[in-house]
Amino acid sequence: MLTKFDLVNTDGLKGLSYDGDFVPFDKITDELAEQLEGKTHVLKRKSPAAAAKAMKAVEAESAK
Amino acid sequence: MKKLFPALKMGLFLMALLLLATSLFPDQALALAQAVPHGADVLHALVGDAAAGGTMLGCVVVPIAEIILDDCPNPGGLTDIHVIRRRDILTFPDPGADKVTISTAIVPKAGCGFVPWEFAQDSGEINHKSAGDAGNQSIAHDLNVYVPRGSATTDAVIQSALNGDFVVIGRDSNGNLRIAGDKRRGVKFEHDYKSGKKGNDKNGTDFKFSGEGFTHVPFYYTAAIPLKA
Repeated sequence: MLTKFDLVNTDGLKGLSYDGDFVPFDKITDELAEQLEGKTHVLKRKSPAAAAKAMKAVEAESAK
Repeated sequence: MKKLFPALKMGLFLMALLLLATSLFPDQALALAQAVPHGADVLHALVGDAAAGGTMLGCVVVPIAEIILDDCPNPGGLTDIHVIRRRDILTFPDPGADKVTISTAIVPKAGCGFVPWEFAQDSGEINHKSAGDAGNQSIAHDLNVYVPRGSATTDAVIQSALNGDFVVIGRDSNGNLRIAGDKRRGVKFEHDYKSGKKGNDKNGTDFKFSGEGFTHVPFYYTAAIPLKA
């Protein structure tokens, strides 16, 4: 799940072709998003506060 | 063995002569030794300026990085292509400082994206060449693939692609993405279907995307390709 980035402008798109692979949007991780930053228009970096909030939500979800 | 002893004798004689000359003319011997490259100078003469990262052998300078890049497999052909109509592109980035590499994303209009076109293995190629008379030269791009079989699906694509104005990204077998067409000039689509005559003849369609009058080779593209749903 993406915590540091938001997916944007994905209307009508199903994913990306990157480095020879098809990458569906739901398979984009934070690590891959870091690589893709600036190389696609569908990723927007979250503000530090929003990223921290998303990280807390993920941690809370995994603690259940 | 008979030939070895005379050679050894000659070697000893020359060494003795050298020692004698050195002891008789020490200043000249020192000047001669300093004139001949040695130590770091020999290394510099062989590998060139280390700071420049190059080797210099026989007066040919080849950067070490380039040798390493060349010293690997170099297969031909294309492995995949992605197609979009030029009018569906919102932003076509400019190339970087090298004038041939685009490293930021091509942005399609909302609801649009690239679509992959399947083709027979070992049938895809992208070419570019100079065109036009001297004083009016430009660059022509063409990208060709072969799609086996005659089918309603393939023919429907042909029906809708004629007179289209496309931008096509082909991935070569070395992993480089190359763009045929640009933001101002697309590549046109042509096809040539042949059923063949005999049982082992080819039955399929040659697809060709081509364009002339470009001011650049097919750009290299290092960003991601947005795919239409």
